[in-house]
Amino acid sequence: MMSVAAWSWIILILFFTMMIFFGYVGMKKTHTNDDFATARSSYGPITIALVISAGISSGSTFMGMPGLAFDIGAPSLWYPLLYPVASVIGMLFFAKTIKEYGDTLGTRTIPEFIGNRYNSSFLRIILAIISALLIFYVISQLVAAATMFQIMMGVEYEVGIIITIVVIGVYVVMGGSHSDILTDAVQGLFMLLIALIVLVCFIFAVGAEGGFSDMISTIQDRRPDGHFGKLFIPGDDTYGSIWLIILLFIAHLPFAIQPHLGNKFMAVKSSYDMKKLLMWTTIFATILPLMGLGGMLAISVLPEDVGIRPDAVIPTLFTELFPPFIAAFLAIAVLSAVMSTSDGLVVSLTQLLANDLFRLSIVPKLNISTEKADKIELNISRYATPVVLIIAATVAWSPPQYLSIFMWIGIGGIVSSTAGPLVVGSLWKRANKLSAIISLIIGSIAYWVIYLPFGFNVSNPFAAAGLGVIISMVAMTISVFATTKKGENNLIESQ
Amino acid sequence: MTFLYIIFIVNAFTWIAMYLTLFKTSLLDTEEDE
Repeated sequence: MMSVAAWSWIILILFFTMMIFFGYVGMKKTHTNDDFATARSSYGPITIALVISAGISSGSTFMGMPGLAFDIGAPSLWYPLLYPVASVIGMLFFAKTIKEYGDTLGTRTIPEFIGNRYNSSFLRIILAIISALLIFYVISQLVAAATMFQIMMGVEYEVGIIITIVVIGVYVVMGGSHSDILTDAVQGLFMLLIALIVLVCFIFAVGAEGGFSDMISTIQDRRPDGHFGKLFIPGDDTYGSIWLIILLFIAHLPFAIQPHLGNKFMAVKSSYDMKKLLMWTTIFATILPLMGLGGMLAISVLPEDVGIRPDAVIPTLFTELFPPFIAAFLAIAVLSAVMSTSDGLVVSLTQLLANDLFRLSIVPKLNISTEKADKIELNISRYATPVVLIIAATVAWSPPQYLSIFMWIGIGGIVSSTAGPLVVGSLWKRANKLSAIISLIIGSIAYWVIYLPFGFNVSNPFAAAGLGVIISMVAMTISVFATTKKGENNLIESQ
Repeated sequence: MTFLYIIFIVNAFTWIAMYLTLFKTSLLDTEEDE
């Protein structure tokens, strides 16, 4: 009988071929840099909902989080439970506005959107610089992909990184956002399928001795401090108390404003589709992280002395439960989770150069036609893609311990700096440019001071980012009261 | 079992709350809706 690794290779080659095909389809749709950056008004709500849900769920959703559940037990499930909920609630604040600005002003990126909302080049440039930190997110995804290759297919870690960046690089260079969206929608479907399989396995205690209640008892015996009756881990930096969990939730409210997620709202066909988009996103995004339950199932299925690294728990569980052909599909789901996040990040990172820097800051100073400028922008986007991937791959060569923690170095900076200008600013017409600048600076500095070792050294990035978000929103509110008059309207109209 | 109930309740509440917010309030209404 063929092994899991052999099946994985066959399915993987088919999968990669499909991705490159979608890259080609995307290339046919990409004529301008606007196409590359946004795929504006091109896709239906279910497609974009799959893309956003797949983008929100990263490699850590499929490996790191189940690994943590297996390692420390149920209290770690607060993270996969709450981050999608907070993210979709956050979308209510800004998704519609981003789409409207995109449709009427031709906004292409989130830094540009904030710049337009407040009529401020300074905000755009600062946010573009902060967004460059998303490179850490790409790095964490490459680590996840390479780990998957190592565990499931016996491929050397470094080779796994190279395979991943080559495939992503090829289809992103070809079709930018169109390829990103087409591939992510398919990847999202794979991920949904695997998450549902894990959920069904958990509900029916597949592989565990006895039925569901026996599985729960076994988990209780094997993880006395982490069974389903335990909500917190006393003294733990991340899951130690309800207050830390609340901060984790708050930290994720602006999560979908990250440039690689926020720009997807511009790709939906019409503003009229926004309600359906958010509803489908809610459904898909809350199902995917139920992968964490796989880690709990593994506690009762795998032998107590299994001796695997936490990240390897889902691949090991699949190999234990399923025939090689089905187990091999997990490799595709993990790669899908990695690629669906990485490709969008790479597109967004290229747009920091092509759009936010070149088109908006340099082109106005050059005496060149719009057509010529657009051609240069598209070239910058395409050439920057391999550069971004090579930089990320170089750093990913030495892997960190937990994926989900590592990527928060970058994400925390973005959510802390944008919470005030975006969440408060989207609800309040009185919110003005000066307040947005003050809020962005205070929010981001607060996050770094709280999080980084030379500050308060709060090692829990969720708590640091949650505090950063609160500080940013409070700073915005106080500043608006202090610098504007009652009834003042500072909204730069999109229509 | 407490945590399992929490997972079920939080997800069910989110789906219902989002449905009501999106389709039964005017929060995301566009001109086409009006």
